[in-house]
Amino acid sequence: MDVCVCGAQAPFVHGGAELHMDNLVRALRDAGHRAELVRLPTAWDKVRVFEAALAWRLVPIDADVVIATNFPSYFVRHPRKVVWLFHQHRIAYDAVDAPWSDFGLDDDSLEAQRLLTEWDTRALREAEALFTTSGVVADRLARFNGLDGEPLYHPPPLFESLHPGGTGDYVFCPTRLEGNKRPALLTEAMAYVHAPTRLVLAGRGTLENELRARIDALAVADRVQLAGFVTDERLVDLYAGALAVVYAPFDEDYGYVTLQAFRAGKPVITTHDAGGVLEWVEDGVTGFVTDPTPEGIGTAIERMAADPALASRMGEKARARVADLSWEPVVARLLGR
Amino acid sequence: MTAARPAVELLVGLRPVTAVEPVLRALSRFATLRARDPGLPPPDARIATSTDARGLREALHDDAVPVAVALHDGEEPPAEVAARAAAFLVARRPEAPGIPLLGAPVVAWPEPSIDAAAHPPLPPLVRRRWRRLLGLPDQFVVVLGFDPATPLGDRAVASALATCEAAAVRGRWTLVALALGTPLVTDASTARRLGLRDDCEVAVSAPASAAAAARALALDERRSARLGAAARHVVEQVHDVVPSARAVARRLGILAPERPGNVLHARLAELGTPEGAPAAMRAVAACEPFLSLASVADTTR
Repeated sequence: MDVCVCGAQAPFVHGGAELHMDNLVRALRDAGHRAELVRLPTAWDKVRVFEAALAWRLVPIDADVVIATNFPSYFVRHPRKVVWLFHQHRIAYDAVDAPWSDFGLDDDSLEAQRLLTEWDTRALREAEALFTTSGVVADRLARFNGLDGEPLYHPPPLFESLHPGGTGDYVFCPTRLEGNKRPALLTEAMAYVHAPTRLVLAGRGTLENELRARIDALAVADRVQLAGFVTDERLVDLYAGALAVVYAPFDEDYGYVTLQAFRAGKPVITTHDAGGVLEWVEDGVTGFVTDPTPEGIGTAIERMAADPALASRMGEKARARVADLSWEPVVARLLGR
Repeated sequence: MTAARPAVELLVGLRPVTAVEPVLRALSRFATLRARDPGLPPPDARIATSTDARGLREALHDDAVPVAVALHDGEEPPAEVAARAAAFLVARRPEAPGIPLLGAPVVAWPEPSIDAAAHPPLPPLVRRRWRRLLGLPDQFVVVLGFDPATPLGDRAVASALATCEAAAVRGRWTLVALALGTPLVTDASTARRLGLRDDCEVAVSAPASAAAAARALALDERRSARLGAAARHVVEQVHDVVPSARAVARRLGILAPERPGNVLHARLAELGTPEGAPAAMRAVAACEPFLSLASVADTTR
């Protein structure tokens, strides 16, 4: 079968969505299909998002099936359109009141928000099957568009390489250093940790300088390490050697970090408002779920550090929780088999 | 790009024009409707609002101008009309036994009907933000046609239905509420008459508990969104009069021919984009030189 995977391109950005698309194409090929990734540049401001959506509407795609992924790629027209929704244009929906949203509380913004919701509902309703990456995304779809989507869970990148190791003297967090990932919250949490435990933050982003300043101000430089970009091999090692993983994004769509941590046999410390992370982390069983405060996270790190055996037991349960994740059933569901 | 709007002359008889009004209003999207006036240039088409319309007989013998004729309540047209009309216009009522087979094509419009594009849907999140902007209470439920009804003048009803969290409605505003995507409670007879299913497009309630049911619906975010979206969808599929008006225009030969550039307009329309929306204007402006070229190429072939 010839399958085109459709996805938005945010030039110069390579994150979880891009890895997801690449891995989907690879999984389709592994299943014996001809698969191609089709991407169109997009823009995120409230004027040009419509043009990006309309561009997809006008693109002819010859394939047996198209699988659309993130906004606005699901505006593609095709008689066999399957949508596996990563996310919509969130600043018009759940994040409309976020500081970075340009949808204000004025007539023009409200009409743009209305029209975008209407466009989304129509384009998504066209799909012969509508899947989401997680229950969180399905819930948003139900609340904002009145549509039902079926969560379809898939293994994260490096799934085959990740493995358990010892319980080291650090908690680990690989993440982009951006506002919605809240790296500052983790840094501030270290001020509440009295055990000899370090925080290793791997990743880069626009907040890096701000974060360094915060680390200095809190006088936690000896216990917070900004590791920057790390290779896949190093990432696997850092997961394997951690006491636990701490991950506290705001309302994450899915969150590869959680699944990678579980695969590496590590419990995850997260927060009540972390979104998709909470579909996996069960408080007291596969990690700790705390208030989104430095004190709450710091206390959870203290508990892990005080009882590494507990961390190990939680990690075993976490690893078992993701043992069944595989691309094969995902490909079968997407192609209606 | 702009061509002169086609003119449609109305021929009126003794039967009330109101019966044909929905499709005529919608037809005004495609043509200018005007009264019969021998002083004006010949129209592009004519519509007789009944078989007893003044001037119909001579109009039927004007081979240059097609005529559509409205039929009322299962009426059979006279033989001459049946033989020469370009189309018959018939209201399609749920209780009607069916549309008679005639010589000319029949264009039916739904009864009751609404111009769906003139009543754009508002999803729950946008309703909530409009309430915030307008300083309305967040728990805002409208009750119309049930006791106790929300005290509203006619001019305020559409705005109230567009901004409320949910509504209990029966009577003449029901279709407007559905078109606006209002999460709706109605009674069983209204639901049956409009072809709506309980918990699919509306919540059906006994009249005495309709207001309470609307308040409960307002608290259920997912159900509200699902019913509102489905209500809008059923209006577009079943009750929208514009597709019928377009069919009338096509039968009368006054619809602009499809051109390659029209695909942009078609794509905007299928997404429910209002004419004049900034998104549509920007898209058309970006493509305008090419659309004009397509238009010129088409006319010079």
